[in-house]
Amino acid sequence: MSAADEPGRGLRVIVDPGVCLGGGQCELICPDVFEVSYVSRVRVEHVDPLHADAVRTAADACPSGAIRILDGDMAKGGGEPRT
Amino acid sequence: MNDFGFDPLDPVVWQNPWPYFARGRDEFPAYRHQDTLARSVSVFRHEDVSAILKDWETFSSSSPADMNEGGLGELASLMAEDPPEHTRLRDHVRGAFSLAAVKGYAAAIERLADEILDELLERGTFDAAADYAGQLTARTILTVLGLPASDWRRIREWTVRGAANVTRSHFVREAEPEADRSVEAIFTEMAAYLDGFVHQADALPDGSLLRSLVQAAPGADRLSPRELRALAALTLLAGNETTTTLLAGAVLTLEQRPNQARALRAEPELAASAVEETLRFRPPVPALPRRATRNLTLHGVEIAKDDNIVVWLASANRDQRVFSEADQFDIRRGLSPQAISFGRGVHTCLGMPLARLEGRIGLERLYRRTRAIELLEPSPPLVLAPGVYAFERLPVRVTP
Ligand code: HEM
Ligand code: SF4
Repeated sequence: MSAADEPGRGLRVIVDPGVCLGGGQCELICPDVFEVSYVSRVRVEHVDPLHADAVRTAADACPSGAIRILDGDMAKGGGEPRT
Repeated sequence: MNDFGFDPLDPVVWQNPWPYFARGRDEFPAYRHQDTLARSVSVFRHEDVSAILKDWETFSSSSPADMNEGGLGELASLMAEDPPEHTRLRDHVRGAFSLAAVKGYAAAIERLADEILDELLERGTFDAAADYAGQLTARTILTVLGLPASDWRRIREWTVRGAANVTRSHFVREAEPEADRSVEAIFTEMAAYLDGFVHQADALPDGSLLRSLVQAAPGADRLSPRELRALAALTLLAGNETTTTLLAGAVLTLEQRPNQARALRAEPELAASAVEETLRFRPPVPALPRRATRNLTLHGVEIAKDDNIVVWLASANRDQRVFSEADQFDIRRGLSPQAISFGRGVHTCLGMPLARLEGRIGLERLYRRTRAIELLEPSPPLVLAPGVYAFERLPVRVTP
């Protein structure tokens, strides 16, 4: 079981393709997690804690608010988005 | 309390607006301009600028029908629409300008930069704004659209004159019918020029943006010829003076700080980071206009429905509440996630990846191929336009 799957540690990230503008701020900030083709695609939904800060920075920098982070324990069951 | 007197159309203020922004952020976070024809309020703090740009319902990009003079008129396209119409138009071009699509242009832009530099380095003395940055950006956007790159001088002329008008109407003290007419004339010329291509899309290069938009699969929600023309005009207008100003602004800011210029010359791979810092430090689009859709109060200033709100990106990017050492230019700072140089919210710049690419390549090629750049005017004159922080000229002498 990887660290990202442990309750309370992992971080789940999703991008709303209807909202995403495709400009790629997220990829420039954290290319290990985000990749923009037509719109942004999340390479790995369950983010390694190593990238947690970068993913939060990307979510803040996303100009359209398309990135949602589901934090900690909530990562398991979905939970309320935290952006 | 009214002694602030910030007037962006005053050439002395415009040459050095930064102390005004600092005072605006601290003492006049929302400032109603006193003698302007239009009812305009300037906003200076990062927090407010960001919140306003994200709230398109309260702060609209469309003008009331009777206020369209001096605007882009029929060519305004998605920049002057609110959702849902805005979303529909933007969806047509979202993919074509996305980061992935734009990466494919890198090699062509690099070749173009080198071709232009071949000639300019031979000359030794040139205008870094018009001859280098302006030529590179105009020829690039024409190529992307599929229009003849040889038309670049004409396009540049239109966009330079068009840009000089952006957001100006919010601050003028008396009507400028002559200026309005001259801008209208540009738009009429541009519309006629573009009409020709829109109606003969078969003649455009395969895979070019304009051709693929015109020939979008039937049945899909197609753009009308008028909408196509407006979109093409908008990309030409929005993508030229802005990117020119980014590249020229980077050269000026670097060369005013010899140790920063030396750092880039020693490590040209820093060009991408230097471009990000230039975007933050000296954003090519310093201000954006919005229109209030209802009465509201901001920092004690009462704003009426249909009042103009001008948010100052250039001030937000120097807000010490958000950026450490905000007034320091440091090319190693890299991308500042909080910088608002390309806007925020639904209207965030469509050309952001292309602008970054052109800026990075343009700067890197210039610094790789020169040993020294000398500014022939230490503080070159600026165009008096709050919408684009552009140069009249940026004369330099280079040592290859
Ligand atoms: C450094 C260069 C550039 C800067 C600083 C810049 C800045 C901006 C800003 C601040 C906006 C937001 C306008 C608003 O919110 O009202 C914008 C919108 C736009 N930009 Fe850029 N831009 C640049 C280059 C380009 C390029 C190369 C293109 C070419 C495609 C372009 C096309 C557009 C378009 C079409 C819009 C309107 C988007 C919309 O309303 O949905 N820009 N730009
Ligand atoms: S930063 Fe946001 S809008 Fe831009 S590509 Fe990434 S998810 Fe999409």
